[in-house]
Amino acid sequence: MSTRSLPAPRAVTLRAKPSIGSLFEKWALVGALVVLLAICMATLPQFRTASLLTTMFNAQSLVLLLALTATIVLRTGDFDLSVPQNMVVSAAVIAQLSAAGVPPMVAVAIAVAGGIVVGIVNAALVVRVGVDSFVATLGSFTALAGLAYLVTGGKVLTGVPDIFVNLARSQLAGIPLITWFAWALVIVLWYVYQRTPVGRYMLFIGGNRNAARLTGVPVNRIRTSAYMISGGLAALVGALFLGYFGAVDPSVGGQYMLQPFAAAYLGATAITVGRFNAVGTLVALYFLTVGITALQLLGAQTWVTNVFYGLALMISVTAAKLAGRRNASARV
Amino acid sequence: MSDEAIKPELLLGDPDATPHGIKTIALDIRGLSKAYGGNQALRGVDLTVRSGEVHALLGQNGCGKSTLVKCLTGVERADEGEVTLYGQKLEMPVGDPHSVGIAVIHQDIGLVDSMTVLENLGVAARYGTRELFPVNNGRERSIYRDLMQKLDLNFTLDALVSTLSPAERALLGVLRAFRLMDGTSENQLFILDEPTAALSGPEAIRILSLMRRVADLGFGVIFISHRLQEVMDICDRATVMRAGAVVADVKISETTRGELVSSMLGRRIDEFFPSPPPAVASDESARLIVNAVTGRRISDLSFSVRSGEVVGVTGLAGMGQEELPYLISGAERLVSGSVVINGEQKVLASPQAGIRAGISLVPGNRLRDGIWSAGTAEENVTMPVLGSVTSRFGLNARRLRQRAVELMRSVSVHPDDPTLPMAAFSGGNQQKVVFAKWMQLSPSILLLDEPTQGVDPGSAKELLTDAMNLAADGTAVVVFSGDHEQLAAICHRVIVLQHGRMTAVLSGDNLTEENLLHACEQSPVY
Repeated sequence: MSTRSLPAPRAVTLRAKPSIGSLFEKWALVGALVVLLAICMATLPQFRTASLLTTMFNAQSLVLLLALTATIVLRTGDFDLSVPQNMVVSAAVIAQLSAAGVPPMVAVAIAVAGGIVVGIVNAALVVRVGVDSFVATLGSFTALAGLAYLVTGGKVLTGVPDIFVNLARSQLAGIPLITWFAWALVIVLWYVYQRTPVGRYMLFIGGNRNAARLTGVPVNRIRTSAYMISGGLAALVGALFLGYFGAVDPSVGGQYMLQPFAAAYLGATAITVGRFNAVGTLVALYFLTVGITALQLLGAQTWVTNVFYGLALMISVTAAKLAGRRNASARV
Repeated sequence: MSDEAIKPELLLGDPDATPHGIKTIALDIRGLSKAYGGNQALRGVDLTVRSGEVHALLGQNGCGKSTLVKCLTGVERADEGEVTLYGQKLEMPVGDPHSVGIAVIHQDIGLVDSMTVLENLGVAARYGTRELFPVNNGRERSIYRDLMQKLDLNFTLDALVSTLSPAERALLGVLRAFRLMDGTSENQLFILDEPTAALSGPEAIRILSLMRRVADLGFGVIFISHRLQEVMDICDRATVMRAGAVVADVKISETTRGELVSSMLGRRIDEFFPSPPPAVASDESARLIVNAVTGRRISDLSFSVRSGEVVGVTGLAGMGQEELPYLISGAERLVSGSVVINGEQKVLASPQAGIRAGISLVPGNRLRDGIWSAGTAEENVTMPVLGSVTSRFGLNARRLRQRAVELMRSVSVHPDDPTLPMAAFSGGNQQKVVFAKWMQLSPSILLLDEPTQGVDPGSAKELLTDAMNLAADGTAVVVFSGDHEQLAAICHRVIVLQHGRMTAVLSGDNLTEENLLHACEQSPVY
């Protein structure tokens, strides 16, 4: 295309290896998880039993599913705070429909459709009208919290069909299915985020929406789809939630708000630094879990959990910001 | 500002003293050095600015100008060197530049559209009071009235900033900087960082004359610009930097523009702009026909561009030339009219549709519309072709890297490391990445919106040469710009807009910088 003579040859800067600094950044959280686990195993005898380890990770699978769901919209530069309540309402809907004799598959399909509708409403406000996504989805979070009471009649619903319990709790290689599902979602999202143009478009939209639009990226379609997938996925997680606990407590949604977002944000400081990603989220959540479990074994009170999660979130976003500032100032 | 303000007057044994009686050295920098990691950004820079003079600071993108300014304002800490301001040695790093008498006016001065002129002016000076103490609006007003009188400006203080033209915004930036300084001290230095970059000729003149006035009041002024004609017109002295070192310090009256450019580049370029490809035969079919197009500003505009033709569109700020590229490329909806591309009438509902129809738009505002600054150069440059660089398991990382390196080398991006985030490149190199991103699509219509804004003459020529080569291969090129010199040099034909309507078309011998200036300033006849 260009006929201009090239400038004098210089050393080729096709970097074969990333610098030590960026490698450290990439794997710091993974290293921290390994070190923390090693210390816990050395000092706390309970950590040396396989049952504690599996219980610990299995108990977090639901949170992992929610955290992964949250990264979808986060990656496009928006929030979807409605995910946890969407899960609770969907679980309640499935429980009530099943109680009314609707076949399980149909009940799940109806709940997923409902979840997608929530996504469409969120997208209508955020993408079409341009409402700030934090406020808009905080609104849908709250509205869904109310709906959960309407659907359950304010009671804890029990008597869940066996199929749901089996779906979440049957074991494969000694590990319950819900954990396998969470790991499968990590792989699917890893593929979409790292290996496909769509994953990159999402980042570009999050980074500079105008530039993405002018580059021909279908910005509004991708943002709307992200909300719809987030809503539908939240409803599917609802089915697993129902099976895992065998009951639906309408008041439980609020407890699933902070942990997934903390894991997603902390996850953005690892693997692909500064970007919401699936593997980082997995590592971050397990790091947080090991920390919490160790504190509990050491006799910490229940309030410590929230303090730990809150602080971890604050520290992780600060670390991400500082890393970003350092990268940008490395001007050449 | 404290009362212990520095008041020494360093006398120079200069017989032809200024009207103020004494000629003082405003700023004296000795041996300033700064390294980032292994990269030496400043190598023992010496710079002397006298009060009452407009001193140009020139150099290619990435030559160290910005680092120098950052060291002066305390954003960066210099490794070595001394800075003396009006005879007073500065403590480095500088804590608050205003309190020592240095004001920097950036190109993007950060004004809030929905607030008034008075509210915007006061924000940096804390509205002359402290946090929760009441603002004395009457006193604020009189302060600004006095300042405006001193600077020969006239703003309606209660007007919303959204009603101001780009030139007026830049003037507002100067006024705001003045408020921050001690009104009684003459020991002040103003640094204007590309204040005219986004302005067309007649508007730039307003900034330049204000700058002259500030210098005539006895202050020191440093002017950073890539527009050498302005430097030749307005400045007294120039310091040229290359690769972190000062390579020339000259009186403007004793140099030429060509000499300045060759010091900047380290080599001579005889022409500042490439020539357009030979004019095309008039029977060549039109690539792009704009047919009675009306948008928010543009009204009822028609013209056509043939294959191989380079057409310019200009006008004063706000006359519609900013909107037109977005209308043509589908980024903004037409109110009425139509666009015909390669003989087919198209309704372009989105930029995506425009790209599919063969239009590439290189946007003017890089940061807002062109780049994802946290993304790497590779991610930015390959964005439009991601879909085609996949293999069975998704994106092919090796081929993407290869493509990115090829593209970056084709426009000589420096450094050509595709893994660096865009924010780490200088403005000129960012623009090269944006150029390469679009040129790989081999567009049949190339729209360039202010293509060389904030880009040094060497890089600008390279970029424009690439565009001219595309034209020679048959692309229809449309350049939207306020830089009349550039338009006169590279276009076959230039369309002048006023209030969204075409008021003149210049071509052939008529197409000169002077005639364009005239055509823009003439009041439209309706």
